[in-house]
Amino acid sequence: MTTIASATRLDPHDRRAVIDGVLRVRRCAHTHRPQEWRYGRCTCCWEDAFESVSACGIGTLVAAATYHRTYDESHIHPYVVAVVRLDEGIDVIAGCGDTHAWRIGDRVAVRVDPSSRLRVERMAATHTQEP
Amino acid sequence: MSQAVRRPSAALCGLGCSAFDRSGERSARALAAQAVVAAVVDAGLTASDIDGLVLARSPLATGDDLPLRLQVDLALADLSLLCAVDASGASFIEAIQTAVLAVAQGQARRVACVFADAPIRPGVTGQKAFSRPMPLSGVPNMEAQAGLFGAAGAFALMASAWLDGCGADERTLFAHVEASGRWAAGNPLARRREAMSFDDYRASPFVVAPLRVADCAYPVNGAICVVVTAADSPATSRHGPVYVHAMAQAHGGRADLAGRSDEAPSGAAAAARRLYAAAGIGPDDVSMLQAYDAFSVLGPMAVVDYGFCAATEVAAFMSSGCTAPGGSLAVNTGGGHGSGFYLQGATPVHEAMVQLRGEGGARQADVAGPVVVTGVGGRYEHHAALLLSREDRR
Repeated sequence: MTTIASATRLDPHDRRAVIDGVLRVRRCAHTHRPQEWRYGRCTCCWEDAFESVSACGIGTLVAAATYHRTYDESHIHPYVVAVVRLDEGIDVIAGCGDTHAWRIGDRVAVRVDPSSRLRVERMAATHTQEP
Repeated sequence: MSQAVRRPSAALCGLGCSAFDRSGERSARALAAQAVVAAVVDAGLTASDIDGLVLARSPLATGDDLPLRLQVDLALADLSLLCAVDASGASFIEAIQTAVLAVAQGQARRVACVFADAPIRPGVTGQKAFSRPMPLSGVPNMEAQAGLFGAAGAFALMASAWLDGCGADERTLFAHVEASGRWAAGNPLARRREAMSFDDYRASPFVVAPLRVADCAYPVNGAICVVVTAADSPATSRHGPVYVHAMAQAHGGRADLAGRSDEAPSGAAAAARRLYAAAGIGPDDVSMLQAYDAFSVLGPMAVVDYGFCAATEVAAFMSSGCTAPGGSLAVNTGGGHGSGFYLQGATPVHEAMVQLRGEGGARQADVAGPVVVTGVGGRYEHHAALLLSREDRR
């Protein structure tokens, strides 16, 4: 996985999770605590200065839903959508690579595909419960 | 009731509905006018008695679908209260709360609160009407790129996490669907009135697993209106007033993308705590729950969050039949949003009033104590609740 070591200061309105093909997470520039993209201000210090750092791309599956209907032509059912809690503590929504049983608590990898979409991939077949 | 509930702050004196259908022939605005007229007549009032109008808009609607000009449509003159409330599926209860506060302050005397929606029309099915991506992450296009379309997908994610956290599974969803269907058998307005076995339930096709067709709301076009008055000067309705003893809201802005909150009780639990504190009672004193259940999982979630059982006990509680006819806690006695009809937060209020007025017919339950009525907006972010009863306790 490509990594970007340094933190990049963000425009407060920049809510991109993928920058130049790399999964990023957003953190408060003051407290350095990871911040979900939906918050306009830091949940700890209430400042709106954010920076972007590369994400580890590893996390735990916390929710999964399997579509059995097609809502949009770019997504033909069946397919699985998951919420993954990255090890940085940030949640992402991503499509899963297959429709076999995904279990809550699965350790997974989140990759960026060539079209900048997030894809969930399986890791070693160990099942650990979310802490 | 083991404790005396707090004195009421207002009364609901009129209940009116438009016709419900899925034809799309009438606009939400026209349906709303029908419902207001029906509620005012039901309250034993006339147009000149109404000095307030509060609109509860569907999140699917634009301002033009249910505009403030409804006042003009209804030829209502000199209103002292006119506004629209926007809290998604919690809007109707919040509209009633707005009216209750206005009546308590003397700003208005008799306020019509109306919800109307007409999402179904030729070429637009219920699924299509509610198919837009529900923004959760804050990242542009993250939901659409993942394929997370429609309310069903967002609620399916939440359902998967919630069921797992409770040690529950599809049998808990089935228990709510089955109980709702049994209640709906006595509701002429309900769409699904036949008994459902577990095999029937499992034969219902998935929409977005773990949610099946049987777990999803049945949207209709229609409108419901309630007239709010002061508790000490209720209108002259032949049905008698239903009293508002307590109100609460909670808007949990910190839930995670699976719909859970690690740092505080869920919005519903916070609303419940505030509701009971305001009323001076607890869940043991409540005889009925009318819960917003656009998806079946919201029924058992409300049972937990409003304090009727612990999360770890919900599978057994629901499967025991406690919430079905003859059970200890009557829940969604009209069939709720799934077996009854989906007019968002107006459906639970409608059924609470029907039950408290003793008009439930074959589905009439014993309403010995207060009734909790809930509304849910967004994907479980916005919560509003009322505590209603037939007793004025003065």
